[in-house]
Amino acid sequence: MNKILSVLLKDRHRLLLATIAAYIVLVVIEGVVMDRESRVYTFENPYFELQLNNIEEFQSNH
Amino acid sequence: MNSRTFERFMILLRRELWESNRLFIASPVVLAGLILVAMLWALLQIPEPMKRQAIQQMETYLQGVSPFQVMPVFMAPAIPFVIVLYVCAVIYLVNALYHDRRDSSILFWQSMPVSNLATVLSKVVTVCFLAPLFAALACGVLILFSVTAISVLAASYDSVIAGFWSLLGAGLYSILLVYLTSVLGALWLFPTIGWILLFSAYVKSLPYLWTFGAFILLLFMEDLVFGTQFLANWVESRTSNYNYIVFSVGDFFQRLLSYDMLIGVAFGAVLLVGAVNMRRFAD
Repeated sequence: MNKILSVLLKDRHRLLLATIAAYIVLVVIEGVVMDRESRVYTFENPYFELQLNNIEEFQSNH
Repeated sequence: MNSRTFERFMILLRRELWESNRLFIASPVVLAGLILVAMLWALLQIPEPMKRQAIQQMETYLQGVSPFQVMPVFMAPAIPFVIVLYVCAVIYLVNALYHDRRDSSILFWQSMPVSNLATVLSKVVTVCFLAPLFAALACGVLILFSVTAISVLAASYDSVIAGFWSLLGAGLYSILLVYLTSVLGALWLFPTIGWILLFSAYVKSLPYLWTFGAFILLLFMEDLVFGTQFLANWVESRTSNYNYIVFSVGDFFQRLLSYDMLIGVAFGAVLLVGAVNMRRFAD
């Protein structure tokens, strides 16, 4: 544990990356456990049916 | 915490207020002054029949209703104060741990018997508990002026709007609610406070660009690399103002002890630990 801490606290960049990584891991774990919607912003529009992950179908239909 | 540590912490808080008095004391006072002048101007400009009509409408609206039942009406003047408070809080947080490294005064402060933890905590307490106090007080002056003006106007038109003491009581209660709402708002956005302080302690230049640019970059990177939007969802969940606007003291404790509030504070604390440790690198 002490060794890990000494590596993380060696310079400011490592500390920043470690802190951000810890934060993101916690947010993701909490999101999975609480079953939060993992996709919020999609291009769903009743007047415009473009889906970026299905661009071929969009091209063939139009 | 012994009395000496507490005393030192209070001195740190005084230092924060002394250094940031323009952000947290002057800004709400100036805003209150501007709105007061605008209100006085409006009172003088509006023709008598319109004023009489407005008072009569108010009388009808509050007929048989206690002013305590319409707290949102009393709290409405707080909206500009809360917006200004948020802007000032962001400016304060971005510079909080950056400026003393930039002008090298961090070396002086670190030579004092004050820990990095106490320094960072003093910034958090300032932004979460002290700054909302001044905003609520400045807004309170405005609310009390409005209550007095409405009562005087009503009396001059032989109308009775809920009774002066009842209105005054509701006005004072609304000041407390504005303060509690602001405190809850700060705690609700605790991860944001932690994030900004972390970058404030890290960057050597361009603190605004680093702080917000890095977060936006992370949002895009998560979607591009993993195809998920947990971070975006987390941000979206923090934008719901239902979680911190309160209309009674009971609501305050209910929101304060909710799961979403506590988990946000816990995650923000992780970032604060990073900010405290980042203070080791004073160069």
